[in-house]
Amino acid sequence: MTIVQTHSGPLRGARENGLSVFRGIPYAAPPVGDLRWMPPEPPVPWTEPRDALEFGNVAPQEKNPLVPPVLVVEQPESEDCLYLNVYTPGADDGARPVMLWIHGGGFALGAGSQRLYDGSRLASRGVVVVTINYRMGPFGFARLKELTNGEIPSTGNEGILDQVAALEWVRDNIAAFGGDPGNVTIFGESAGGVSVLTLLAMPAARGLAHKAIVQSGPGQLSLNVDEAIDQVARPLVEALGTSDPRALRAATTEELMAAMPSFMDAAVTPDPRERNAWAKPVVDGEVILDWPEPLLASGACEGMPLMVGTTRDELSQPVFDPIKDEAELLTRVQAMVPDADAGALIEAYRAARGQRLAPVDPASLYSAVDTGLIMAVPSTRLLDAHRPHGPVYHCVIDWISPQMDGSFGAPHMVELGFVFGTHDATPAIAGMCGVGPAADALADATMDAWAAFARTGDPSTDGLGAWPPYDETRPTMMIGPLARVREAPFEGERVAWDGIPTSAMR
Amino acid sequence: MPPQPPEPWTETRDALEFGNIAPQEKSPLIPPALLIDQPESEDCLYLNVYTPGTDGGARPVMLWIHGGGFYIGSGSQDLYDGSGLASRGAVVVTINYRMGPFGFVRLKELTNGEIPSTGNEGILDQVAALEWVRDNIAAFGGDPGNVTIFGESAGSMSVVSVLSMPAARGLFHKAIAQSGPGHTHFSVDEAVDYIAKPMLEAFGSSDPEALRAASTEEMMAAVPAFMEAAASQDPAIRNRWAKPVIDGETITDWPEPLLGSGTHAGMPLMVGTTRDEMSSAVLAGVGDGDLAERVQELVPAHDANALIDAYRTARGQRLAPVDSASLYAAIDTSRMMGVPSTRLLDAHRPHGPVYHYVFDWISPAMDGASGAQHGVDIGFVFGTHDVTPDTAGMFGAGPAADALANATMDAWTAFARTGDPSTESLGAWPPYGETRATMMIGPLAGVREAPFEGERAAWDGIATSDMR
Repeated sequence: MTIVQTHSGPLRGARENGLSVFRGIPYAAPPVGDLRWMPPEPPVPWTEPRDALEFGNVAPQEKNPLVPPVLVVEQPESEDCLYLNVYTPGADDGARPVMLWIHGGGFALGAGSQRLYDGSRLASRGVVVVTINYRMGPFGFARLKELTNGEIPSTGNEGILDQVAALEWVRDNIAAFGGDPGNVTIFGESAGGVSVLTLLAMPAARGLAHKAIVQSGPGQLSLNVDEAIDQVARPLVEALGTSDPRALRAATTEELMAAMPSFMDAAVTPDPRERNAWAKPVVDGEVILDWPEPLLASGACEGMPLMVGTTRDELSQPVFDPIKDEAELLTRVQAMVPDADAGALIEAYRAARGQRLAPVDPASLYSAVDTGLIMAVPSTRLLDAHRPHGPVYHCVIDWISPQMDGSFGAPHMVELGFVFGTHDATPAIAGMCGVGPAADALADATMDAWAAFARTGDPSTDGLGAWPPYDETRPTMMIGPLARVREAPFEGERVAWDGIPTSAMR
Repeated sequence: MPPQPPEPWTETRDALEFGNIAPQEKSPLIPPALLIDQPESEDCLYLNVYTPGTDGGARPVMLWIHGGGFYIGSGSQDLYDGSGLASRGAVVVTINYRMGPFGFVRLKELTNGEIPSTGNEGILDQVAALEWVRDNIAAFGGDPGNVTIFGESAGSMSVVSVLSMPAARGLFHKAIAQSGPGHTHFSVDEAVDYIAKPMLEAFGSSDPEALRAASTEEMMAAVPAFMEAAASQDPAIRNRWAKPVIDGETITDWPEPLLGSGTHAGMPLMVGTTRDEMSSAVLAGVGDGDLAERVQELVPAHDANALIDAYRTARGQRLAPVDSASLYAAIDTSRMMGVPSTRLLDAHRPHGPVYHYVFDWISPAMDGASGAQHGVDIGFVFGTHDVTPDTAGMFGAGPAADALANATMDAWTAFARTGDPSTESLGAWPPYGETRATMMIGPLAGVREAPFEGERAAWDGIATSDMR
């Protein structure tokens, strides 16, 4: 047992595996009742030592049969969900680098307490790992201010404000947990990656984070105000049958969850226009100043080390959505990029992939183009935008998931088990990532690189080797079965998007 | 002729450079990772020894027989550098043997015995190498009483042949057969009809004097080609390249009945395959309309559709691809490799310790499209996965690949040492009992009971002799 004094009161944590672990720390007041849809408030202080031994409630989760097993959470769900967890080698004055993790799951699923995000192995490398929950779905990302004439003032960014509150908690408290509040790395994957980019666009948050890692985070998918209203708020209100603020406040958790446009359904729909219609941050020019690329290009994050990475086959969907033939391929790609030459794009991918004898059947080409559209190319553009202003690093995870005899390639999320060393934590995760000597070694190497970046801003290590910054030669660390730095990998594919603005890549 | 002992010498002779390699088939189909740049000659019977010390160490000996269809390859390929295994306390011996027209052509019938070759001369070379080990390896720090023969592909077929050769009795004590169960060896008639006859026709003469006077190149040009046959879409042609002959004399019997009869009582035997041995077939693309017909060609006397359905079901359950090309490749993998390999283990199980693995590490080449292809185990067995950029492209490099190589080398040397491949890195490795415990070696490594059982069981009722 170990007791730590925080600004809100004393906490009792556990000693396990050579670490002090604190679970379920409230970092804000429960955002329930009158606080639903309000910015987060500080937690109510306490005086007696409070147990931080069990994970706190998780945010209400979207229920959908398509949700993959690795995203299932085990804790009770509640709007009262603003808890975080700390894994530290010692609650002492070690002043270690801090790594604050923002989970993904489409702003509709997930929690900091998922087995996938157990911070123990990463913390054992001498960093303090913080994993957080934040409001999601209708509670965190519903912009109701317009439709309620401001009576419910939510901007649709409440979940991001929760993340800021967590960063403020870190600033105020992490020293007592053996961390250095002057060396905080925010990192996140998917919606968590988008969150990281969003935080960089908030002056309040920027001062609280000193380095950032964006894993598979398509920041260009955030919504503008009109979209936030039309695609999320209005359908929500229509499904509830009322825009009366009192009725909205009186609605139960379940009623609001049921009325919310579905993330999973949108994510798997074949129509590229509908695919983006789920709740996510709103670039409103007030809470969130700007889109990530122009923001970084303006030098808003001067001097900050930034690592951005994607998986090689982010959007491979061999089973769910097979493309039958070339004609369908062309039609579907044209729908992705209405104002661009779909045929030219496809041919560039066919040629580039053909050169390395990668599959060029219609389904594989579609997946590859989609990966370029949503993830790969916007990610390299973020690095290009920030490059004049700070150290930038690029990686592509090409570890082939063992599931489906490897036919899923290196899909979205595959790196998570390696970033945390949780690849073997459960059978579901093991099925996605792998187990045994090779997987263990990749996990060790990945955790070492991430911890090195958090420590010094440079992810070079013995395991993966020297990792040069992402300059004009585009050196990229490939993390997988053939791990090494490659200059400008997938360049034929990347340049095919020159001339197509990132704002059109949604 | 059978191999003769070497001419002795008195002055100290350098053993610093690799010797000539056997004449190689030249083909554009050969992948770059397998190309060798050493002088070729019929004068090729050389071997190499890697040892921690030429002392009284009496270490386990591991004798490697390279693959390459009995037409290409050598013991001196970068891929077979024995240093990694030797650093784990084994004495590694890599050998050359006669190949193609010099090692595997049965001319005795067509020359009325004037050229007495049985078509197994290359295997007799391997036996001669084993005799050399018996007589000499103690001086190299090895234990002649603890010799493991191991080989891949044609090298595995060689291991199986050596098991079946009375002349090799007592020269080895353990065996590892990687991706080559040896059920496609020739009968005497096949050796004569498919290889000797066409070769003599191409050469233009069956006169023994003319044959002995022929140049190396003339013989290489006359022998039926391996790579072309192996790449054929016709399963009958695919088998028609020079290989050992079950003649009842030099090689006494087919491997399954031979092992089943208890010929090698007490001998530890490890047999394994890669998961997607025939993945090149995926790339050749069998279409939906062809599948039933093409599978029927593989098993003329049996129900192709029943096989296809069993594979579609089993693979569908784990969401593996079930397009026609993938199904065909999977069925052919079982036919040529997977199922005959498990049958070798079933035959030997009552008589000695048996171990099974499936190597399912996916080659990084082609964005992984070739799967866990034929040969993907080699770089890890030797720890040579990244010895050149080409090999790295085929096997991988970096921490994960390094770890897999270390774990594989540990298991192989443990088996050579004690007959049990269990190690810390891959873990406890149970024998292949009725539960068919199999070590999966790849991204999700560990023991699985009866992996791919739906596929395996679909061949019950199809004799191994029908799987050629």
